[in-house]
Amino acid sequence: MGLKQTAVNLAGIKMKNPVMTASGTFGYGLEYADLIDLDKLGAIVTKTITPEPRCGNQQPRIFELPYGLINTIGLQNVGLERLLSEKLPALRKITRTPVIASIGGYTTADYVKSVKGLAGSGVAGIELNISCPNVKTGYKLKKTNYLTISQNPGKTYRLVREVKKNTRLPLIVKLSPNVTDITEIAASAEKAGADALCLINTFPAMAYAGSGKDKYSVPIFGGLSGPCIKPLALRMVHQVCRTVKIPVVAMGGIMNGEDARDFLQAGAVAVAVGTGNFVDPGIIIDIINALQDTDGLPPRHKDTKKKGIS
Amino acid sequence: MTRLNCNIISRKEFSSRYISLSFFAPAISRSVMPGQFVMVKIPGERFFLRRPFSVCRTARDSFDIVFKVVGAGTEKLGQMKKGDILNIIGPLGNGYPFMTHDPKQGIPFVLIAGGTGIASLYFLARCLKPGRGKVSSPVVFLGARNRKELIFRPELIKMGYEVLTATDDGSAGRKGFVTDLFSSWLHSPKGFRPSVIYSCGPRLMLKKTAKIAEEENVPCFISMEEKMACGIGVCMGCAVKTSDKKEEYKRACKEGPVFRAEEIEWD
Ligand SMILES: Cc1cc2nc3c(=O)[nH]c(=O)nc-3n(C[C@H](O)[C@H](O)[C@H](O)COP(=O)(O)OP(=O)(O)OC[C@H]3O[C@@H](n4cnc5c(N)ncnc54)[C@H](O)[C@@H]3O)c2cc1C
Ligand SMILES: Cc1cc2nc3c(=O)[nH]c(=O)nc-3n(C[C@H](O)[C@H](O)[C@H](O)COP(=O)(O)O)c2cc1C
Ligand code: FES
Repeated sequence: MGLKQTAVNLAGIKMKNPVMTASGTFGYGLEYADLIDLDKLGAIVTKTITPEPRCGNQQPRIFELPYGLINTIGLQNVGLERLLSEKLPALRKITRTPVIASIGGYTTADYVKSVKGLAGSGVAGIELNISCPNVKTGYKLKKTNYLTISQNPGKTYRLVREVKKNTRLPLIVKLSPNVTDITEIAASAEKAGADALCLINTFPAMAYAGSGKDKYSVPIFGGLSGPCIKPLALRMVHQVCRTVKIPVVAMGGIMNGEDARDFLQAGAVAVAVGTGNFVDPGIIIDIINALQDTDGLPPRHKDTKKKGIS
Repeated sequence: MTRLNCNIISRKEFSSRYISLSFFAPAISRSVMPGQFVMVKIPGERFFLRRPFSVCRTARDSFDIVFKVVGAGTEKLGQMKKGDILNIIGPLGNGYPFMTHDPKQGIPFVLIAGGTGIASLYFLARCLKPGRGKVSSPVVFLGARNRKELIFRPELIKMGYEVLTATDDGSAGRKGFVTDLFSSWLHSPKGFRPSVIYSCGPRLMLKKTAKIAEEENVPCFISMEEKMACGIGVCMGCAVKTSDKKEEYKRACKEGPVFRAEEIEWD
């Protein structure tokens, strides 16, 4: 069978295939250049940056599980200035694949500053990370319990609307799975002018990271990712695709072509590979090849009428 | 840096818990420097992330790792046999800088290794010329849990190093920490202020080594083992806190694993 046509258009971002990288798992795109052909990717999403550099959380930051990973990186990043002056120009030199910049912040002003800074930088789009569970952004519920903006429909609406006013680039809003009803947040983001949605960020989780006798001495709190979250992600993507009209980028535990196909079948326009990159940097290329080699992309929304079993 | 399927060409057991594997991988063996490491994919879905291991020796077309069985991943790795194929990414990170020293006149360096820390230092020991200097041969301080875990001692002696050992249980050499052995040696008649200290081992040991180096005003390079998810600099999981104001947290897998001792913020 010949290669199938896999190009997609994600809210104006022209991708040669629907497979992109998930923010925070691909650095600034440069690190993988020795290992894989970046030109093959549908799009590259860079690590979430904040206007000022952030140094991130203390160790331990990583905890491995049999089918997943808990991380509490705390958005360590080089900041807007170095992204613009160093990382993006270097990436531009080595690949023509569209680059989507992920941005985060504490306040609306932070987000606005970043989108303004990114105007004219050559990025194809902006991903609005309003859902990182590992930083004390958003707003305080109790002393120790912070919520992200994407956990409140009103705050999501206001932030997206404000950011949208300040950029002409396609705006992709990244949602948290840690909500009662994700479709409500998705609808708010759409109403506020988001051009696309991206889901899901990691699930808040915990593990004891000590070893032996000291097992319980180090509780680690962080975001859960990897194959263990795939069924949860798939359900949310399915629900959101039936709620909004804007395109959806799906992620959560994608490890192979079949996983990618599942999300496309559920209605996503594109998929992103996160934790899978750590397990094997070649996974993302294998997924692209799998989508091209077999039956091409599944027809979107084919099963909208099907009720499903619950 | 490459990603390869590597054939295991030999396997050696130092003890039931200390195992060494040789991999056929010219692309890695010909470019790797002491202190650099590889990320090994251990077969089985249960071992989700790759595991980092220092390269401890190279031949023309192959390189070796030596590891201690400490958990399920190393247990499985220890069961691998000659002929098995593993996917490996490497070489990764920055190795030890070779400080120039003229062994004829110069003052020798010392190596301080704790446990599996000997892996990267053994490779370094093979690359640095041990030749006897005016004062003494370079000295390797080798610390381990017990006699069985003191590996590479005969090889180092044969190469011309003086090897002093310490074990936790006193089954070989001095009983106690290798850093205590080092500090009492420093102040003994045989001791000398080394030209440079290279060290790899548990965090506490490195911290003590760094302190001694600072007190004695000796340049000191240490290799830090942080938990790693990607090993290639994208996840920020392996961050090491440093005194660098511009970049407080550095990546053990990219800027490291070898750091100047005075750079590290030990907390
Ligand atoms: C740059 C680098 C070089 C290394 N070189 C060697 C080497 O040459 N020989 C060797 O035996 N080991 C080396 N290690 C440590 C080795 O990677 C771990 O022992 C291994 O990953 C444990 O895997 P596991 O599945 O058996 O253990 P797990 O079940 O994952 O953990 C068991 C124990 O090992 C500790 N551990 C897990 N991962 C690491 C890690 N990355 N660093 C330190 N401790 C860890 C855990 O805290 C726990 O106490 C190196 C680590 C790094 C970062
Ligand atoms: C180590 C690590 C760092 C991450 N950093 C970010 C980040 O900076 N911004 C962001 O939007 N998502 C971040 N994520 C979330 C991923 O982009 C993705 O949404 C999530 O991991 C689910 O996909 P996966 O199961 O394929 O990894 C991070 C995930 C991991 C594992
Ligand atoms: S292990 Fe991922 S950045 Fe170092």
